[in-house]
Amino acid sequence: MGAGHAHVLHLDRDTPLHRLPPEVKIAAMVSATVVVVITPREALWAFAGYAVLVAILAAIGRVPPGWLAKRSLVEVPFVLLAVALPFIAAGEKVTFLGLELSRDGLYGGFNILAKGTLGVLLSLILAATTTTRDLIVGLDRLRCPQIITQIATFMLRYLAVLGGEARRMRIARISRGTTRASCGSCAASPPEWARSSCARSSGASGSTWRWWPADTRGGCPPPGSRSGRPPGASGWLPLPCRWRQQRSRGPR
Amino acid sequence: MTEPLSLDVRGVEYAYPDGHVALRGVDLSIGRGERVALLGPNGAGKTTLVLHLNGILTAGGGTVAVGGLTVDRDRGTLAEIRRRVGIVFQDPDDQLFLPTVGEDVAFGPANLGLRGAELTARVDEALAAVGMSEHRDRAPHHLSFGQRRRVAVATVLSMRPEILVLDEPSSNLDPAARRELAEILRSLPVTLLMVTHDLPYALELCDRSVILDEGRIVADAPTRELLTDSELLARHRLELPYGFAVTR
Repeated sequence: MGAGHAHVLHLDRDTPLHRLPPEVKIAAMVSATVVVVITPREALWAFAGYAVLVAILAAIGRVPPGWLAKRSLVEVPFVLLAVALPFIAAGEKVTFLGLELSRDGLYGGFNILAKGTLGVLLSLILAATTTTRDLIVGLDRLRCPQIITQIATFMLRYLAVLGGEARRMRIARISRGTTRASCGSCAASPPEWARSSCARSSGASGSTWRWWPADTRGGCPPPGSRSGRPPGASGWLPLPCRWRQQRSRGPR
Repeated sequence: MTEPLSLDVRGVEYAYPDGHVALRGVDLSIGRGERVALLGPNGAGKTTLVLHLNGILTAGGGTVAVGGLTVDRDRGTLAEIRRRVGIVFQDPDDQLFLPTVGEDVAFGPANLGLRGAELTARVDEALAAVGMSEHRDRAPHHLSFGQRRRVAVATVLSMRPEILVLDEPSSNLDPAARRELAEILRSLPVTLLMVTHDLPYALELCDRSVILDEGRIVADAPTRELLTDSELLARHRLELPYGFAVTR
């Protein structure tokens, strides 16, 4: 069955933000997040300025507000905490609409809400304008430790494999009369996921076996990256042979 | 009054959310009891079309009717459409997710509301049709790939479909399993739409074939006639296996 043509988060557009090198976007996103986090919570004008900047970035990248709002729902648990804080926090009280609210709680709630929302929006804009592969390339160019890029590469690969598997199984179940509300759906889900996980863990091991020989040290070899070199002869040996070979060589 | 067509697809159009246009006005009619092969290169829109037949995807334009019933978003209609269209997916592991073969085969009819002796009879009937009755209590993952594919066919047969849609049924099967599946499919009294790249298998099982390419039906003729037109096949990236020739 075909994989469809939609990526989960990346929006395929041709904008200046999409064309920007991934390492620049990653560095800018991390820097912006740090600036947002260290901004004092009382500096409301600064948060308003950040919000305007985020809106400008979204406009440049042609990321629709509805798309951002829908995916920002991941933040809901933190929003609930932020809303609860003025009611549960101690300290000086202020009265608003007849409600006794904690001053510290109001600032704390705003702090969580503003910083969390800005962080989520920045991450979403980065994801919408950068493919997952480019993110890895960007991290590699930023001299991120290879073990991190390696883990991230495999994690993304496995997520794609598991996501594809879950999607196909869901379609197969719906095709046999399951609806979200039906008991059949609930009954099928746990063993389905267990089976899927088992099957895919072996499938994923298969991918690992197929990928490993591509680079002896396990880094991703994107064009132009510092790890983009052809593998040596030893790179094509099966993993256990290479493991033994490396052990016999000792640490490098 | 004329008998309704098993499948009547008219002017179906579909574009994925990213703008990729997969179907550009597909017309396809299949009469009751016909066996038709849907051929086409990778990316032609075959799977997208299949997912329209039971309402998994909703057409941007055009209509799909199964046994005279038009596919729409109404829940009751969709349930009936999904009973009428039995899709056997390429990877049987996507279709088999319960602990035993019997439970997997019972999953569809149980969703239709069948219980007790009636449900048991459906399971027995479907397993017998694919020659898997003796494996009823086995775990699907303990079966061979060919057996799993036969069980996958049984999982939709148990819903007594109007039309059986098979996505690449011969893929990954050894020659014996391939022959056994062909014998089973030939013996089933249902309309059959087989999506495949396996041209000899299409010739073996289907009197009629259609070629889908770039989201359109570009040829619709007896299978033998299509397979002898090497220019047509080449134009749509279809090839007979090495050493295989079809004569008129």
